[in-house]
Amino acid sequence: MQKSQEAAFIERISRKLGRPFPKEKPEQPVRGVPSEWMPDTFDTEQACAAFIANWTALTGKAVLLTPDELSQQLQEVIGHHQAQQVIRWDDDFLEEMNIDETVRRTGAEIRSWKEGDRRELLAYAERCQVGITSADFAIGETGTLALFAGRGKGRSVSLLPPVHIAVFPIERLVPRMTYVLTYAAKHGMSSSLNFITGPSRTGDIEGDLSIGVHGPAYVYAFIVKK
Amino acid sequence: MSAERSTIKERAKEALKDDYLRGAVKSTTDRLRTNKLASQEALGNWEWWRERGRQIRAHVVANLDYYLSQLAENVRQNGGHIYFCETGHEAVKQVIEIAKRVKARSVVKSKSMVSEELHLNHALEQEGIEAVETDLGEYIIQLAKEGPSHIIAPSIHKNRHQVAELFAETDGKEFIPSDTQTLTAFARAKLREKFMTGEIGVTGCNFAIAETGSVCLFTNEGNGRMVTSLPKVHIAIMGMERILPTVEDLEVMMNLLPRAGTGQKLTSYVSIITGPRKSGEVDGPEEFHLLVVDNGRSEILEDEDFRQVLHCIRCGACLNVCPVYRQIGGHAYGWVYPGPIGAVITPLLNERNDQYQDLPYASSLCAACYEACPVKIPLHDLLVKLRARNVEKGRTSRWEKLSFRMYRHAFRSPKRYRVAIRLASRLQKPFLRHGFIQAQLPILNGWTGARDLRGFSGESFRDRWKTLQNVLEKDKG
Repeated sequence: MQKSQEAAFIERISRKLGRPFPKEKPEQPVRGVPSEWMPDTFDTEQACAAFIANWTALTGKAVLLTPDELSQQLQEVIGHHQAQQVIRWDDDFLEEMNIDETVRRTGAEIRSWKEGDRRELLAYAERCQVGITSADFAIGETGTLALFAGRGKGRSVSLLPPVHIAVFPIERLVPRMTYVLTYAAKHGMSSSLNFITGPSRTGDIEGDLSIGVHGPAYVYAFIVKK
Repeated sequence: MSAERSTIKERAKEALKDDYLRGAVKSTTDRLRTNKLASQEALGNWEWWRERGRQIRAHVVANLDYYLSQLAENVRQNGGHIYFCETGHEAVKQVIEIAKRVKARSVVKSKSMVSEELHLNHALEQEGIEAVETDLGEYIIQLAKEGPSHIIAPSIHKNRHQVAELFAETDGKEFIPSDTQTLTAFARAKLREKFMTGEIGVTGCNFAIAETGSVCLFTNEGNGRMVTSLPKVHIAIMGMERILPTVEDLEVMMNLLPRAGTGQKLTSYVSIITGPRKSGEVDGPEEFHLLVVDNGRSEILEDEDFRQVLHCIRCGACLNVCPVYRQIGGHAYGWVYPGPIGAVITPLLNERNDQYQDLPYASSLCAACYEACPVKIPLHDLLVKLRARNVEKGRTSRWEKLSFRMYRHAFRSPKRYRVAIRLASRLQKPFLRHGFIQAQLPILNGWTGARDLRGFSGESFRDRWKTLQNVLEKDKG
């Protein structure tokens, strides 16, 4: 029943286009950005500097630091926002950086996003002041984090708490969006791929910029260089 | 949407009386336009990007049947459901069927222009299902029981005091401070409850990607992420033309859409949703449904000129530069889509409805819309073509028909032309002041109402040519 409705719909479009349904995949005259746009090699440090500049311009905070400095910075930020509860991705890099230990040192509670009771986990994330994720990529050109949702990598962690902290190694930096999109196309799409460029914002009231409407108002990017 | 039987002229007249509206629309569109110019400058080679955007959109629309069927295959492969709805009515029926099956009491919505075409909220409420708009601007106009007046800034016509009053009323309070931060915080708290409890999230779709079966949303507030992460069911609704072949093509649109819309390099969030949540994931919807809506679009495909209007990516840039939109705002256009794009697409999507066929006259044909368009749609040409179509279909006033009949008659023979000009220059005399027609003549008041029209010269060029020719020949000799 539904299939035939679909067939009729598509048939009508072919008819309106004045030709039969194409037998083969149509040849695209152009596809995406030109290949020169993505050079084979790039300078990570340069991409990192661009990311920091762009992220900062959007009122975010971005710092390049060592693992020791990370621990100190994290404690400061959690103290600054007086966080009592923190949620984090269940992620290898965050484990490696001993995030739990650092957070607990501030007296705050921390839980990781593990399979379990959905309702309970969402309610907890909603109560949290801080959400900590890693980032699959960070893009220099625009100051953008790319987060692929997946097991342990909940969408809500970077969304529900008013403070979002992303902790990731400098190796995840790329200069352009092109690298991420070609990666995604090649490795298959995650159920939800989010590009995050600064805090949640709106200009809906008199065009006046206001930060932190539904998503986080405070966004930190801690880029770790060992 | 306002379905009152008024003309664009009458609605524009009303709008012009509202000084606040004109001030608000002007300042916001000024800012959006300035930011756009700065950010396209910063990107560099803007014309090249525009052309790339045009090529991609033109290719998709010319092969829409193929890409829709590819999209359908891939949506199903990802475990999602896809529905093809010929009319708005069918789309609404589909949403309600899903809502009833999952026993939804509340639907949380992220901005979707196509759902405005369908009057979806109204239909849901008829069924006893709450429909909450969660984009701040949409939330405001929903409380005010109005429609959007700009494609990307729907509450552009409301000031902060009006918003504060609306919010206070909703909350049963006497007063809420009208600073933006307080108002935003109010909406955040109110809507957070809705996000946490809504059973269905409804979104629009900036682009669907045929090759991966994904839908892509460009948002700034995070409400789009909320409604695709928290409710158990996600329903995305798209106009059937909003497709890109591949995820790589999305990068071109990522450079064009936010820059053209608000002047941002990228919106705060770009979310690519591919099917429902996968096993092992805790959040994200259990069900993903994609509704592909025709609602008059396929009629537009037949004519290759009008087909270009389906290239539109709904950035709103043409509104911000339009001298007409900037004076009368969005509601005067009378339907979902305002501005130059509205003046073209509204009469096309409502082809059988005479009520909307006067919109192509709400334009000075200055072509600023074409210049602003990130995918190079020649809106000014299409406006002229729509006017021509009105003439063919006899949708013109008796005066206009009569004047053009006389015009054709006079211009067909040199003799008649000469007589007509002489006659006109004599007939105009009672109305002439210092060489200009200043009087409010019934047929000419489109011109003379706001400015003076230059009168005919007493002597025609042909008459003067005789003496001029003599002078020239003397000079040569």
